[in-house]
Amino acid sequence: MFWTAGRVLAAVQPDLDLTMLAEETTALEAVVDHDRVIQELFALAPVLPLRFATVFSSADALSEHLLAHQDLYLARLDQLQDRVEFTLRLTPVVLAPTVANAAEGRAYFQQRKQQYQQVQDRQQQQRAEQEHLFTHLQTLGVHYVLEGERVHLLVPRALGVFLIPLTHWEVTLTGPLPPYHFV
Amino acid sequence: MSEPVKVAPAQAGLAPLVLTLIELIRQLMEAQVIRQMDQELLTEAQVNAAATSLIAMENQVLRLCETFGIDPQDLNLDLGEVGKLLPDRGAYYPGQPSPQASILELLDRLLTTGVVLQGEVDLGVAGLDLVHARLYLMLSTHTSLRTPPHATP
Repeated sequence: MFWTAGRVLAAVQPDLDLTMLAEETTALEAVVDHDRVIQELFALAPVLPLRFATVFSSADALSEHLLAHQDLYLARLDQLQDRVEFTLRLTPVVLAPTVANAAEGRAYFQQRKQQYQQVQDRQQQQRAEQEHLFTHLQTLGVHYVLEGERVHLLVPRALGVFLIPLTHWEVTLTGPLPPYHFV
Repeated sequence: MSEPVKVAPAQAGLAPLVLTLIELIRQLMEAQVIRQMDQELLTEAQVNAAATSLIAMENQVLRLCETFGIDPQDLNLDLGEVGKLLPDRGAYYPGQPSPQASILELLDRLLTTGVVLQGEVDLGVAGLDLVHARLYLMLSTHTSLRTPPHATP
């Protein structure tokens, strides 16, 4: 159901049985439902996805919270008005060194150093390419949050292509998503 | 020369484990040779002999892998947060920084600086304690034993 307080409209589940969050199966279903509601609302209007299992003890407590944070939430919604989130997964392309392995004597050991140097050079190229991508995103006004191999991007909705071709990374792009990581 | 006898992978038993251990030791020796070679502690004849032996060992491991139907890539173990048992090819060079952790690198660095192990081991079977061993073990390389500690790389 929807709950209004001041100028904020919140989607809430009333009379929540907290014991269901303790059960793994029902908790998982609740997480999926929570995400589904966010996705459906996001398709209609800007949303602020609150953390799963944000619980209020009563309707009055909910109203109090919304009124207390009204200005903050409205300002954030305004900032996110025309933006969507994408998740970018960057996986380094791993190439075996091309320096041959068959040799004799000192050359056999020197090839180990050449292989090491080749790997170091490739990793340097990967870092440079990644930095170039982030600089490019910044110039487009795209905000990003790094999380391991994943990069969460907050992209202006009007922006078409915002990635550049990468040769040293495998790229997987997921989205558009609600702004989960920019609330 | 006759074709080598091939064993079904299901019958390989402990062979993968033994071959993994041999490959670990082989790569560890290779790393130590490289360290000594880079410090110019070896003659050309010693370098050549070491290379010949290490190549022969590698070929032997590969031949045994073929016999037992083992993919040589499977000799490397992914140990999760600890890293891999063996570094990927080109990922580690003795004495150089390495972005990818591996047990081989750890052992190589420990051997180079030297390490003392102290502990007790009980060996047994079917709940019976049969052998009790008290260990005071020092692992090091010949080079680091001959070199003052502050001069060890």
